[in-house]
Amino acid sequence: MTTLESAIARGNNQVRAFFSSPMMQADLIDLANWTLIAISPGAAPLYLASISLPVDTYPIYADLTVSEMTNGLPYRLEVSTTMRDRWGNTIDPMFNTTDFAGIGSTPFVESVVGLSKNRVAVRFSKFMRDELSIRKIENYSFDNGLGVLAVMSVEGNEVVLATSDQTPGLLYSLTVANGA
Amino acid sequence: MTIQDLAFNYLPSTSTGSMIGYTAPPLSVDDLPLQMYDFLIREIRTQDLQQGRLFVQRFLDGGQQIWKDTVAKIHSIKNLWSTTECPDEYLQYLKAIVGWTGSAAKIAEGLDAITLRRLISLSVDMWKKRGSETTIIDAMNILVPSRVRIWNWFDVRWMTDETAFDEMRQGRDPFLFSMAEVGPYYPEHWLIIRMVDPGRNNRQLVRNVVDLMRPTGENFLLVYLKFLDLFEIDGDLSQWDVSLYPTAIVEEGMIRLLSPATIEAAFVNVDGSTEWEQFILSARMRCTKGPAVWGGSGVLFLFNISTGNGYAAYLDLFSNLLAISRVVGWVSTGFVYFNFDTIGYTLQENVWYGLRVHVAREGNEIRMEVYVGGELRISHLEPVGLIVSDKGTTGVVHSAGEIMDCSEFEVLGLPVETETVEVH
Repeated sequence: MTTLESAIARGNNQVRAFFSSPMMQADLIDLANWTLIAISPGAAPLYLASISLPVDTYPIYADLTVSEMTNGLPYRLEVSTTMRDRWGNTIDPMFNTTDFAGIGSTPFVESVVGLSKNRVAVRFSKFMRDELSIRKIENYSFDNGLGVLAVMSVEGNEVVLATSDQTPGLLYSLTVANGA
Repeated sequence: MTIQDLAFNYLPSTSTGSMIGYTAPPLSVDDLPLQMYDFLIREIRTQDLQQGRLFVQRFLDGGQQIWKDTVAKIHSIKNLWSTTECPDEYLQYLKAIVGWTGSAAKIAEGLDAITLRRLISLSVDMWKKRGSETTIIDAMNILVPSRVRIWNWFDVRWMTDETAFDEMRQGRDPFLFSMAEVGPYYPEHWLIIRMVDPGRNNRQLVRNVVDLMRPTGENFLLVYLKFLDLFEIDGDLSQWDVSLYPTAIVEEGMIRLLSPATIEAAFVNVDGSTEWEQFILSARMRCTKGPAVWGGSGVLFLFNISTGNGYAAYLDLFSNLLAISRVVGWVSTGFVYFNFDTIGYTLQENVWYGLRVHVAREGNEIRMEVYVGGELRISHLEPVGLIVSDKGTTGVVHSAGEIMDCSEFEVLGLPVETETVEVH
């Protein structure tokens, strides 16, 4: 019987799964044969989008394109025991799962733009979760005496802040604190 | 809880970014001066300055005036899209842009410029959101503008069937939303729009716009009021005269007279209120029990502020009474009562009551009817010789030692003015 040897995250959205024997292409590209589980409660659920195979009649590995992982948290890959290697052997039920560490990129403040004299758009590098923490005005602070009065909206990767009146042309630095 | 992206990846504990303080773009032609002369190459201008005694610049002065006018016109093109800046003569095009074409064009025909601007300003939102009661209210607030409320059959369902909690219905008076049953339609097919209009509104326009906003197969009953205040904006006493008792406040959706140290009152001060003679006054109110007999909290009517003469209808929780009193020179004397003991009910502190007063002429006399919780409790014909005031404003009042709140106050003129907008 053949086994699922290992899996490794190769980027935000890609996982490579290795088998002990060359596998049937038809079984590898069937999405129903793959299951991804977030083991840690703090990890984002993982969804399988597509599968790509190396140019080989009987590939020994498959690349899975998945939704973004939570950086450093463990995930489990499980394959169907009906998958067959090139000789028709199925997967050993004792060795059809493997764990791997997720890779995710850290968001950062991409830009800060004054929309009007008292509105500022903070754009992050990624879409952010609209939760209490991102709506707390205490997490945002400007220098040069510019006050943050309210978080007006959180949409996609953009947070709009209401500020006290800005001085035209003056350079302001924004600090976004996290951990509160 | 920390700031995370959709995959639960954390933002670093400190992230920074920079920006330049917002600089508003130039708004007018004067902020962006364009001179024909400046378009000449520098060499020509230098020669003109050094040898030509600025002949070329002076030569272009005439053209510059034409140029300036042209630039001003170019810069004013954006005003064609502004409901406030668009010149009157171009409003016809703006109204077409926002949808008043085809069969809807008739509605916007013949309107004066101010009304047309209001119609245009509400159009985009109306087309997007029409059908909801909120949108109808918002549209009327802009279009007429008027204070408006809407009742539908489902609003009253809880008090018209067996699910009603008590006979006082939390101060909701079924009369205010007595359903029209015109023609073959069921009550649930009616939306009742109660709108303040002392006769100045363009009612044809109101009917047409309301007709456009019909959600499905509903009919509208338009009821025109003399006065309405739902106290929706904190601090909004714009319809009230509180000069005599400035402690009155509006907060949490009600007008509150919270000083027990003395009598307190607030008087309706909208145009024409001092001339009100025949009307139906409704107030949703709650109060506390006073310390003495013949106190009370309620409403004033036919009241002349300058003389202190008029009438009051009030609940006296101390004596468990409903009463009407004559007020002469600010001195109140009760003269007709209903004792709630006779029906086995005890008036309660801080329970909402719907107090309604009908005032109508019968010859030289005045018929006064007072309802509590939708039930007629006092019907009195005020004799000619005892009438202390035959017209005047209305208001809310409480005696010393009590406090009161009023969350809704409505005055409906008699005869009642209504119209229907039915399915066609």
